[in-house]
Amino acid sequence: MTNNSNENVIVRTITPLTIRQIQLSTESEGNTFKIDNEFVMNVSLVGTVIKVLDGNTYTNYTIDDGTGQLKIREFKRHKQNNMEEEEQQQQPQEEGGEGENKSKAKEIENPFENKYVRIIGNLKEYKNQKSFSVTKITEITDSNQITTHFLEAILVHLQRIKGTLKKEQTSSQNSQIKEEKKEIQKETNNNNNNSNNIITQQNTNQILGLALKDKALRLISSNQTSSGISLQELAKELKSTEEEIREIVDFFLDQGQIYITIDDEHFRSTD
Amino acid sequence: MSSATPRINFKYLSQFEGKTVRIAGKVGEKQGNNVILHTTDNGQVIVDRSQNLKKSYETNNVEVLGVWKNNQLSELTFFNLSDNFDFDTYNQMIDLSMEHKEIFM
Repeated sequence: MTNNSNENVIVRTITPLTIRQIQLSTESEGNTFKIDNEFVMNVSLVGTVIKVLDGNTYTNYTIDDGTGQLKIREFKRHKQNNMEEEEQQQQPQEEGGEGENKSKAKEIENPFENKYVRIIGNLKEYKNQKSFSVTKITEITDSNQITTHFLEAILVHLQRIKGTLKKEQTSSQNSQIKEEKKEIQKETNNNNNNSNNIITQQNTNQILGLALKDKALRLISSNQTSSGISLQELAKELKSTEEEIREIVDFFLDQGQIYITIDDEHFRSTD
Repeated sequence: MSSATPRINFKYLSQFEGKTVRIAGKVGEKQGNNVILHTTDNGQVIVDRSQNLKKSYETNNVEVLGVWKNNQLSELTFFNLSDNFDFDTYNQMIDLSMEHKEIFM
């Protein structure tokens, strides 16, 4: 997540938006835009690439997400002198920069043809115009991310606009809005679950694995006898198999946190 | 300023006669230049591919962008969608987008 320094406002969140929302936003302070009454800097979009213009220092993409079209700019990164290049690229629209690039920019083959992309970028105002610079543009391989993005955009939109109308709301309006938000949240979660079930399971397994390692190290450390604690004892205490314990002690042996004593099945902590 | 090409499914078609829309679904039978698209809400739409024949669908699920007129979707372009695309959640997203048109069109 990038944190843009700006004269007045620093916004650390990434807001999922539709292009229509960007088109409709006019309010700004400093050069930061406001959408649904909240400052917005880092933005995520999901859409398709219609056109690609290749210039010297940047590539211009025209994006369509079904709600509208937007021109966005991705600065090219060079391997050497990265910092200098980026500083220069911060001022692309100043004298000459823009003009030079425009005249040299040519349309090239679309690497994202017939594909959906996710874009993370910064929305800024420059000379009374909206300017969107791309931090990251990636192809979407799980199309459920399209659905999720729009659900999230609706959710954030509703949270930001309905949240401020506290005084005028009646209790029935309140419960209706809560229902709506719950539905969206549920669908977003369902959608995320569908795509992320495998990842969640892996994460859970990792956490369980860590807990076991932790316990094993503690048991070894707490043993003060000169011969240390045996593999069998560890397996018994931790209610685990010897193979699993073997893996764990091998790990700690490699790390130098334990050492073997009378034989390779007895261990003591190096602490 | 609206250059929106809204995402819809079968049940909303009647509201978009003559408009450019996006419809997603499973690719069905080919009939000459036409293809049947089984929409995410179990409808069937005839897609006239004659303006975009040089590109073939690469996946089982696609989103077709085209003009809906005279009971046919005249394809302008399409987008490949993954096999695990969840139709139900997508339908619900479309319903919600219709309820909150202010950020979609």
